[in-house]
Amino acid sequence: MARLQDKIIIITGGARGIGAAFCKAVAAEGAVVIVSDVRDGAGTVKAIEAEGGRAIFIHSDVANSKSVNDLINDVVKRYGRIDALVNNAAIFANLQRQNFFEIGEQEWDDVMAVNVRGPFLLCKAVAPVMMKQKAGKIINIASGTVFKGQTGITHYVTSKGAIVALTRCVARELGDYNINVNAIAPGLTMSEGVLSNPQMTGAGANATLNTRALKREQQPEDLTGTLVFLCSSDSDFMTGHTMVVDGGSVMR
Amino acid sequence: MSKLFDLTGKTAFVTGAASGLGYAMAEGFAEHGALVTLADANRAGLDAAVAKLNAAGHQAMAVELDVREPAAIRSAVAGAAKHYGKMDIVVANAGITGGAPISEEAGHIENIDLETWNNVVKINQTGVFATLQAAAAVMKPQKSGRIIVTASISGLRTSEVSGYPYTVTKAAVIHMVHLAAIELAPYNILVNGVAPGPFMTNIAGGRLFREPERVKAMANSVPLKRMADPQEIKGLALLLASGAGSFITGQVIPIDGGSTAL
Repeated sequence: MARLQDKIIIITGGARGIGAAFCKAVAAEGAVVIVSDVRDGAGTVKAIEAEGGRAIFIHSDVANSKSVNDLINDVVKRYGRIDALVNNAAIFANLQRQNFFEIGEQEWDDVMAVNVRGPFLLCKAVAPVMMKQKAGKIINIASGTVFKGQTGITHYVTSKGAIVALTRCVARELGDYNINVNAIAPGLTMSEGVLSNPQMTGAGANATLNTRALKREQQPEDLTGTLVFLCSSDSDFMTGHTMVVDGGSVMR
Repeated sequence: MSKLFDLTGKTAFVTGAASGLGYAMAEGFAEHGALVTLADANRAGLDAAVAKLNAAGHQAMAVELDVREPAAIRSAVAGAAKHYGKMDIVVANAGITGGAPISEEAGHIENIDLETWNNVVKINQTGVFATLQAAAAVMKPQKSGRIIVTASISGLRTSEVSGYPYTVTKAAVIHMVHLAAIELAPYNILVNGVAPGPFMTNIAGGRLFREPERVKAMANSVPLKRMADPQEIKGLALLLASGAGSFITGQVIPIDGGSTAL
């Protein structure tokens, strides 16, 4: 039996990379996927439909509250409910590595707007829907770098640290409503965005790989099992937790 | 449909499997196609558990086992592996509470007798270590395997409702998970722990079922405002035992309704 049969699941940043893998994985488990992205997500929808799955694309900019509210309202209007929200959209793959004291204010703010304000706005917009349902799953995508620090991308790591904190706080506030809020902390994953940035795939990537117990590259598909688990009723007693899925680099 | 969580043809060995979380994990594996070996010191409970699984059409067998006897664990795991030709999943679950919480006089440091302490260490710490040894012995030559240790949120965060022997032994097995995960990774053996919070099990001699007021207070302290049914451990154990968890190792995952929010 499919584990997410007929569940209405929104995944931000679903046009490519890890987000696209997430969309395909929940669709394969029977979910109706709302692929959301600032990029065109038609490719993800097409790939899902080719496998007999169900998906639609809704354009949305997570940093913009109007855009976020429109997304949530649109989904509620179409389907009447939202079973899971996956806050996956983030700025990462295009970042240039630099020392923290070289990061400009604008770049810092851009990363925070998408990576922190985005999930905050989405949690805020989806909360009333899920509170009314007395059920719901929110899955935020953090990063393993939070637990060990990482040079060259301080804005990114800091933004993901905020996601771990956001997950804990929102989980505590929404527990009364039977809403589970958890996070996944991946290691450096070979998404197409990462693969297209030589700064992400060179010596730094090898150094990351060597910190893992399982010494191989992480693929987007390594994360889908955990995502399906956190979207499903199998995780009904888990909330506020950040699950590290990184081949055993961070152990906690 | 995806096969992410499928365990068809896999073999599993679970200690403390006659009841509670151990039984639920074994049942969850069996429901996803695994051939399960249930080990427990409680013969009557064990037989009933295995009979229940087999009656439901699953393939289960019983091994009477006291985890205070390391040699018996080794031969039990090796025996099951020999019977099935391999051992894919071992769960070191058997454990006891032992020792009152520090909020009670009986739990104060001067009142914990070493006999109690040693018995809890023998079961919760040495018993888990010996189970990991037994698992590694069969899994290293296979170059594959999954090991799951039942820790506790008491091992992650101390509080005044925790007692010395239980808390300390549960903390110890968390480091054991991390070390074994590092050592065994080259053999493609993944080692993780589950850290349950308030589950309605027969822990502490069934105390939870006798003290509804206490349970109510416990439930209210949990962000999800409830206790968990043992069934609810199944999904997490399945994630860690199946292809869905193939890049997770060295993690001790709380399943506690948000109590720790780690």
